[in-house]
Amino acid sequence: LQVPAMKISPDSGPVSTPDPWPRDAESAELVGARRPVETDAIRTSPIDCCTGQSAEALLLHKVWSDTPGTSRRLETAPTVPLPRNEDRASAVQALTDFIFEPLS
Amino acid sequence: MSTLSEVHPGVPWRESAARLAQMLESTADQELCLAVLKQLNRRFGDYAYPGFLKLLLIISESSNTGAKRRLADTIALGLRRGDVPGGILAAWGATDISSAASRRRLDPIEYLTAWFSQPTHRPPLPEGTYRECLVQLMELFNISTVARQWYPLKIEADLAGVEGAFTHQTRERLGILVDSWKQGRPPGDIAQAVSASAASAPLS
Repeated sequence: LQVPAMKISPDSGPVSTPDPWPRDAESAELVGARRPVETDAIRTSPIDCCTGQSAEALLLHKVWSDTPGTSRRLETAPTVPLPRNEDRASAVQALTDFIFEPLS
Repeated sequence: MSTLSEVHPGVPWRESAARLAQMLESTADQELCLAVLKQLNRRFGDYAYPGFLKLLLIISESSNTGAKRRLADTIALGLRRGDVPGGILAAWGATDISSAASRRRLDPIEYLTAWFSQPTHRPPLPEGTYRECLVQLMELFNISTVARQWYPLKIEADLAGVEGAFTHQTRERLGILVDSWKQGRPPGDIAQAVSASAASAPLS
């Protein structure tokens, strides 16, 4: 089997990958650089999206009752239909929105 | 007045996982499932990958057999392409993920193992949580013959080919995980061996 190794991308690049953003604000202004939005988003994005839990607490938190015999079947509210889209990109977006909606 | 999520903090997560399960159970198109998983992971953002993992863990713990199988098959498809939805952790030696050089994107099991084993930008992951999550994820992936076969090989390839992501201790743990997974040992035994492996070793 030929297993693809981890992708080397800007997110997983080698340590030698140059940082295009000048380290100090003055240099940045001189070259007209703009820090990528993605970097700012990483610094300011909330750790969790809805419940006030930290990301770490999310993994600790149990969503199931430990009572013996409790059903662990996941059922959505009957009023929530699965979105249907002919266009693939729209379908992906609609389904993602549908899944994420309870957390937003 | 308290909101529903404050009174029952698991409710929105279970509802979100239920919708993911509904999508997985009713969609035969694996390509679509993988695309949705990747988009969903992007939606959580780089800081909230544990939220994405939480959805996988909830489904793993559920009795939705069809959804679990489809999810495992979808991860298998991602493994074949080197395109499993991954999360960002600080590379070893880095204390934040603000620059591209200090970040590594890791697959679920590697992410959890690195988070547990080495200093990252996150508070340490407790051993009990690591073991529990590892067992649940391995049980989920074992449902797919392809995922069970490919995932240890993928980790093995990453250990051989990627620099700067893992400390010695993390590599040791992942090595034990790979060997015991390939031998077909039960996830509980593997998690026990992996978490205990470097207990007496100094932190790298």
